[in-house]
Amino acid sequence: MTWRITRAGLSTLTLVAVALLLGVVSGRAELFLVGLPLALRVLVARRPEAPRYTLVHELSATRLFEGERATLTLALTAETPLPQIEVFEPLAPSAEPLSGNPRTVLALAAGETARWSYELRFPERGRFALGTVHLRFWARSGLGVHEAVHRDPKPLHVYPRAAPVSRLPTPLRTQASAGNYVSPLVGDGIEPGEIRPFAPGDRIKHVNWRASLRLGRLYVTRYQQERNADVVLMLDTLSQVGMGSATTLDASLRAAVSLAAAYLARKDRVGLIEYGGVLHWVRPGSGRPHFERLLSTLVRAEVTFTYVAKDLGLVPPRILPPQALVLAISSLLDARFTAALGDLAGRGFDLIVLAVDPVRITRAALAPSPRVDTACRLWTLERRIQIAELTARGLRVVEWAPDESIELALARVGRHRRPRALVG
Amino acid sequence: MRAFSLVPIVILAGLPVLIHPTSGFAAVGAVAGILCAAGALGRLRPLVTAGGSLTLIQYALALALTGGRSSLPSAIVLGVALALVLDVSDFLHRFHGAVLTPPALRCQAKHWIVIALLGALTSGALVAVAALVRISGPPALHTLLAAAGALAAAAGVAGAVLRRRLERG
Repeated sequence: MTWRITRAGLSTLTLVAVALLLGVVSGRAELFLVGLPLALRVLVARRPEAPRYTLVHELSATRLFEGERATLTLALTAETPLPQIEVFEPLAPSAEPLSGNPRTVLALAAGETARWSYELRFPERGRFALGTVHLRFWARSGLGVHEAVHRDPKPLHVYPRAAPVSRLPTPLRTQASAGNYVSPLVGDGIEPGEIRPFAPGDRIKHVNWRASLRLGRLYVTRYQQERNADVVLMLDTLSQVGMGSATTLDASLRAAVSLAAAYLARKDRVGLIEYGGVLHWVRPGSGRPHFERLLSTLVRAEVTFTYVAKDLGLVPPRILPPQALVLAISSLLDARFTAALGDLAGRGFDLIVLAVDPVRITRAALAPSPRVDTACRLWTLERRIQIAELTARGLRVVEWAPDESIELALARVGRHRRPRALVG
Repeated sequence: MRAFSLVPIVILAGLPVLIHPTSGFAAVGAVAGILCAAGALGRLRPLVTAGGSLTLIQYALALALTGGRSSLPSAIVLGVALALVLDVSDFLHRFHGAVLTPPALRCQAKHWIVIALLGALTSGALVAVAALVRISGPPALHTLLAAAGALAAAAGVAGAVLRRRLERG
């Protein structure tokens, strides 16, 4: 805790000096009298005793999605009289106060407790450090102040917003664990597969009585197994366009979170590869804790500039399983990412590219003008050519504008796909 | 609160004009008032100090131009008004944009009343003591009191400087 004389004290002393000087020069007692209340103001402002207090800082949630709200509650108990306390909590620039104010002035008697709260909205993803509260214990005159900082770290993670997606591209290959996809393999399941003659060891409940009566001997129904799949989300963090939280990277992250939530709800294992200046990955997994792990990785995602092209061959097979469906989310602005996509397709991966439209995002960030309009139209044409070239090379590319539903964009892939032959 | 800050500013700017009511004085008074108001409302402390200094100079001039007539009540009012202008403008500056709870406002209002009353009563008491000394005291006492006042002022300055050094050390 520190104590200092404020600038108001200097201002008062200046005016006292001016009054005294004028009094001496003019030889008038009135000017000394004018300076007297000012001098008294300084004399009365003695240094108060060091304040003692207890501050409790509470945060209603530690994890939010973009656009959600959190309530911060503070409770200040005075152990000594606190005639004028200014309490201020610095916030991130993107945090929007909805009700209340993070800067409050209070007066408390000894033993009294003040409790107040304010609500904040977090429109942008990120990791925020709350819980640092600045306190100023002012002398009533304002000529002196005790300053203190209360630190009770409260990390708050704001994750990219997830949109509900019910219809998703079905992976071409399934894995060994139970899931929602009908596998070509027969075994336990509920989807009837084939009928074959009864053999010792077959269960009675599998006997197909209708077929057995018609053909005069026992037949059993075999069922197709229901299996899950591996899905790897490959995120392009090599480049981005846009302003604030309306960038291609933010749109990509929202798409990634939505797809991860939807595939995990289908009992699939979902992995993540952040392909950028630094290669980050999350091993495929399932369940709620794994979703939290993916969110924690996605909230940290950012564009890191580099000249180096990362080789996907460095990614271990446990991160990028050969049977996995790879969903690449990219604005296709960087040729290195396009080359990596070609590499994946060449290695026989089941690959779908969700191409985030950077033109609309850029247009929204710029003031409308005929020049911007022309540039955006030319850019759109160039992108169409680029996507046509990728499609011709055997890649499945789906264009997606961030204001459009992901489900609608992915519907263009079709539910029943076949592996494509790679041209080159 | 902002409207309240204008009351002592009006008194501050108007008092010298009331003592010497000329158009020139009114113009200077208006400038001083505008400086103080701009400083208080715009949260610029140097402007308030400049406006206060201008008022003091104007007041000294007004006293000089009116001749030997004593105007002690006006000095008390001016002193109290100046102290309040400084206090209120500083309060506005300190807590701009903050939520002020009613107890904090009540506490500050009490402080302003105390400052105004203390300033007025102390000045009045001092005037009464000075009058008493002038009427009944021996002429040598005037010199002694002046010397004691000068010594007290010097001791006060030395004490403030020493305390500042100790706090830094």
